[in-house]
Order: sequence, then structure tokens, then C-alpha cells
Amino acid sequence: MTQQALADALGVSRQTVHSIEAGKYDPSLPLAFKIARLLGRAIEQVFEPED
Amino acid sequence: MNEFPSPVEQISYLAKVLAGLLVVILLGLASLELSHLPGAPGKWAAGLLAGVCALLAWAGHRRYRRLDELQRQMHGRACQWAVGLVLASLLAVSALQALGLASSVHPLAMAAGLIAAWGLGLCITHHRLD
Repeated sequence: MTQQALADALGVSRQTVHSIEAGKYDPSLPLAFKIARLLGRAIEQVFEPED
Repeated sequence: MNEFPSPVEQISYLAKVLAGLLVVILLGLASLELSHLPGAPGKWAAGLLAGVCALLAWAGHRRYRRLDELQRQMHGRACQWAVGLVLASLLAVSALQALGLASSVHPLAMAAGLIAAWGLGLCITHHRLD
């Protein structure tokens, strides 16, 4: 899946997807849940908390 | 999956920024010329200018509502930069004016400074997040 396809499915910009992937931006909780749902995984499998 | 914007997207973005700047510059120049227009034409022109500014504000608001959360955050931070820089500059200029070391600042120069500070903030935020 390309960044643009993921961005379109999430209703955000490609830049947002890129920044999340690069670890430079932490998405809001609703967006994080949306990403996890789209990828068919649990949220903790997609995002790891920083200790 | 790491994609960069295509040259067409980059040129399109640059064109939008330049068009926005051109509109702001033209509005600034128009407001300068208004002071030379006497009587009724001057009032009509001032009303027209106010209407155009209101239309621009409405278009900006509509555009802002269409932005996603990251873009809103970037513009928010850019505004924080702009407010901080302009406030610091105003305090410095005010202090210099109180000491008689600086003359009064034209409101258009302040507006230009505000836009420049906002642009700088947007560039810095964009660089940090991209």
C-alpha cells in the first residue's frame, strides 16, 4: 500500500502518513485507532509507547 | 513506502504560495493608494477592499477546516512563532522609540513582518515534521 493510498483511506494528507511513519508525529487517538482498524491490527501492535 | 511529492505537486504548492503572497502584496499596495483617493470614490474603494479582505478571511477559514490534524498543528505552531516574533519585535521597537532611537513603524510593515514570521514558522515546523 502506498502512502497516498493509506492517506486517502484515512482522510488525511500524504505528509501526515509520512510523518507518522517516520516517527516525527504522534497521531491523535481517533486517528491511531483508524490506522489500526485499517491495517487489521490492535492499536498496540501498530504503535509502541515510548518509555 | 517513503515517497516524496512529485515535481508537479511541488510546483503547484509553490504557485499557490506565490499567488497568496501576490494577493497580500496587492492588497497592501491598494490600501496605500486609498489614502490618496478623496471623497466618495475613496469610501467605495475602502468598502471594496474591506469586502475583499473579508472574502479572503472566509476562504482561509474554509481552507483551514479542510486541513487534517497535522496540518492544523503545523499552522498553529507557525502562528505561535509569528505572534512570539512580532511581539518581541514590537517590544524592541517600542523601547527604541521610547529612547528616541527609532521612528514610527508603518502598519503595512508590521503586517509584512507578521506574514514573514508566519512563513518562517511554517518552514521550521515543516522541516521538523517532514
